[in-house]
Amino acid sequence: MRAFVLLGLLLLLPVTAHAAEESAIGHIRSVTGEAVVIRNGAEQPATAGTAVQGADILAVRGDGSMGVTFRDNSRVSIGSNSRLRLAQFEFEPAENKLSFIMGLVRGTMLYVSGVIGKLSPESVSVETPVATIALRGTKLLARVEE
Amino acid sequence: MERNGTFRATLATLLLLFVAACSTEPKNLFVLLKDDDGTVGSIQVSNAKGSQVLSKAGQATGMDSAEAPPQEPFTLTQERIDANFQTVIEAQPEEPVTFLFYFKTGTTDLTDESERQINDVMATIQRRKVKPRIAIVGHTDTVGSAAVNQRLSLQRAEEVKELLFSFGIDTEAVEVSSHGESNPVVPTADNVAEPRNRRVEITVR
Repeated sequence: MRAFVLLGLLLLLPVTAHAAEESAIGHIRSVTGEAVVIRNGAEQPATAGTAVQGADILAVRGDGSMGVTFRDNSRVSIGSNSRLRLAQFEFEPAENKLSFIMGLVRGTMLYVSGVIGKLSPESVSVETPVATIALRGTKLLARVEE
Repeated sequence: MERNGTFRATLATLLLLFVAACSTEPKNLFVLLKDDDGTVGSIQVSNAKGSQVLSKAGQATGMDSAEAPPQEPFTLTQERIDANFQTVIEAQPEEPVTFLFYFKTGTTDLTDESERQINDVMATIQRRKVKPRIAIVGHTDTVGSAAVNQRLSLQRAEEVKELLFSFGIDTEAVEVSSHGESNPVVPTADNVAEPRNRRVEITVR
């Protein structure tokens, strides 16, 4: 009986990993210094190749940086002492689902727009504690200091 | 004579300090940059106290706190942009590269020219600084049934995927999808035949 349960659990492992990949909205391409991805309250170290999902928080602790590319070819990088929430990412052009909303809690970021920005310029925005930034198909640098 | 000289020196120092203080950017800072292809979009920065629109490359606005409105747009030199944002600029991922593939009418066979282009894709993949993700996306024009177009464009994308796999691409790095008619190269009205839109795009990122 126990053998079956164990076998069942082992068989589920690749499915879980695959499921994480299936819901990926982008991938981390580079990390310097100490960085993490926070998902459902749990932290995992951020390394090049890690998949990121909607609602993830990307954080760099101390000096460092992280670069991420997304499914719509947009690119984001964050710098030292930075915290960015990937609040909403929808990229299904055939169903007209297009949106990219980020939350820059603190720190610095560079955003280079991709297909979502091209097809639906009004659907990309960055929320910060001091202001909201509405982007129209473009390239943005932002710094938020607490 | 000496008293005048000291006074002028003090005044000059104070002036320099004043100018330096004025050219320090606000704590919260937002800058519009040119896209890689040279076009410039626009951004609107808003809070409860006000709103500003930036529409020229190098324009910036910001505020020292949430209680202050966004400042009148000012222009930052490249030097000031680098001074404020060097780390994120250096951490920018490499620009994605997209290749367009075309098919013999009504089939899932690549044109000869497109078949040859696979070599360029492979070369680009080898040259990437970081192991790339590869997106294969089918597209259609606006002629005919959306469902039929969707199916054909997905089949074609799958064909291209199989071709890449035969070259030894890591299967885990590849994502296949279709955008149907919603992401054309050449925007057209409904039911307009446009061969340039009937394509599969491979993006290496």
